Amino acid sequence: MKFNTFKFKISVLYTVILGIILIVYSVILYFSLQFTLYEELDRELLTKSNEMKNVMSSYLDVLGFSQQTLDYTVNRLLSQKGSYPGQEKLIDLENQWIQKVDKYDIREDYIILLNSNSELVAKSPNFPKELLPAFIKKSKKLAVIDPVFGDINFDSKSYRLLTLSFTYQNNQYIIQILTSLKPIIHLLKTRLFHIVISIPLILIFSFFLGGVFVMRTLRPVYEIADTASKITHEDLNARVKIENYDEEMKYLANTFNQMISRLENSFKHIAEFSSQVSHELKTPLAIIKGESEYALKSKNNPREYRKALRINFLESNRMLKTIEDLLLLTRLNYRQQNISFEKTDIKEFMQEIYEQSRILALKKKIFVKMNLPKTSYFVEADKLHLRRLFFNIINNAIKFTPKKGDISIELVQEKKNLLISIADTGVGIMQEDIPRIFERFFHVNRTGQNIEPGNGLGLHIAKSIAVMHNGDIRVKSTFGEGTVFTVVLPIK
Amino acid sequence: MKSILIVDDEIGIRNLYCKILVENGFNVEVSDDIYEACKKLKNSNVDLILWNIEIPREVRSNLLDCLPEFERRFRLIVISVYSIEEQRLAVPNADDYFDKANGTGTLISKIKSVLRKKRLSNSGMLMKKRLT
Repeated sequence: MKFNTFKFKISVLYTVILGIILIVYSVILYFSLQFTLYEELDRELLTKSNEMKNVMSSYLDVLGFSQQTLDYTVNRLLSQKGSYPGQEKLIDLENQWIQKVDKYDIREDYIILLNSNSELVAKSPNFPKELLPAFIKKSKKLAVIDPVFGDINFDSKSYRLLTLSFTYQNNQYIIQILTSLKPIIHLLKTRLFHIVISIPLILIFSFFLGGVFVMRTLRPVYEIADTASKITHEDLNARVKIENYDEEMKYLANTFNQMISRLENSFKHIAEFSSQVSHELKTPLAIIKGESEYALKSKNNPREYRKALRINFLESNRMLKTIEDLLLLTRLNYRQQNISFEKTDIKEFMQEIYEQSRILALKKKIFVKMNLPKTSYFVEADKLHLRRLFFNIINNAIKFTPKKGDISIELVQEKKNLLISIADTGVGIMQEDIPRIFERFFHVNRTGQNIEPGNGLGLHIAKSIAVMHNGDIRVKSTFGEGTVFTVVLPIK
Repeated sequence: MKSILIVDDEIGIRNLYCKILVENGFNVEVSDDIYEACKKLKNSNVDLILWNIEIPREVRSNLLDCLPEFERRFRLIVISVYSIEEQRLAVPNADDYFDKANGTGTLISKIKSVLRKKRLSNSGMLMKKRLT
């Protein structure tokens, strides 16, 4: 058995607590038993002596008090010996007394009767003679008003002593009854023996039983551990089976299963993502490879070489752009600590965007106009990324708007948000494509337009930046007429 | 002279394949879109289509919708950046499949071998008659 296990510790704790409870309980029980037994014995002694006193008085009442009648009475009571004239009158009393003697086992007890001078009047026949002087001496010291109880040892045996004084016709007498404690001591010893034997047995039993219960309780933990050990990055299918578990364990197992599910989803997501990235990069590579192959075959044709090199240059640029965008996305989604927000005057900011957009739109002779309100608005923004957001949208607008088209930028307030809309007079987006344009690597179908292909990340990045600013991007479009992208940013 | 239609939305790929196929003595037409391609198929005598599918998208169903109409009048080689197994899963009945990363030499030999194969039935001819 391992000592640093939960099972061991719980079992020990459990056993120690049970042991303390059992010991305290047994001690209380033992002493209460002892007390009860002594009390019982004392009551019995008192009853015996009282009975004796009463019977003695009754005898003497019948016979009349004299030294002879007293001797006769006492001997008659203690040893049923001796005779006296007119004793037939006492038959009923004697019979009653003998019944009591049998009932209380008075023959087993040592009884002596002393007078007020502590002189022996009578003693029971079984009373050991050698004890007499000690007894008589002892009785002198007793304050003989109330019944007095005491313990006496002799002959290596223990006895309970009752001393009771009574007065008969102005003569004081003392009855002393001595009864053996043997039955009580025997009973208590047996009880102690039972306690001493049973407590360790109960504790050993409970220790192992406790171990079994702890094992049963901890079973889910082992199952979870088993499941966890089965899980690898290749196989995230394993789940803990939740059956007959306690609430807490059910909660643990459920939480564990949910965690695995989330991990599985993330892994699927990553796998899908890397597949998408590879396929996205495969196209430019296929072009580079094909062009190079072609150029290599056309010997001594510098024009073909130049052409191939130019295409390869453009395609590798495109690949780099895709990779840069992917890295940016990673930063936006997973390394946000590098992003610093500052209070930004959005009018000033949009003015800069507008100036640059006009220059960009110039080569397609697209007219850009902007409409700003008079009020100043501030937003919490990372300028660099926010600029990226707007240029991704504006570049798209320029790309999809035919020559001499229009792009208009407008800023309005809506409740606690700013709405910055960028409207173009471009080709528009087909209704079925609208829900998907923010997806990663989504390319719209560019029918018959000579539009250079993008990498399908621009709008996805724009949306990620908007979300990072606690904002959003909305889109409205009529196919063939134009598109309106609206950037929603919360006002600071 | 055999006629080949290239359907691909990548201008770089269109230009490259066009250049190579012309050099190999084929008559080449290009299209960047499925709808346009379908129109071209009706009006001209195409022997073989090189069709770029993009597997995650539903767009491929457009040509698949068109295909029964023209089936077997021309041959079809599916081209994409996806593996041949994935392409086969997406479009099960093509004559051949080509992974764009496998160089142009492979493409030419695939085209030649597909065009050499004889038709097993004349259903294609029947189709053509019905269309005209």
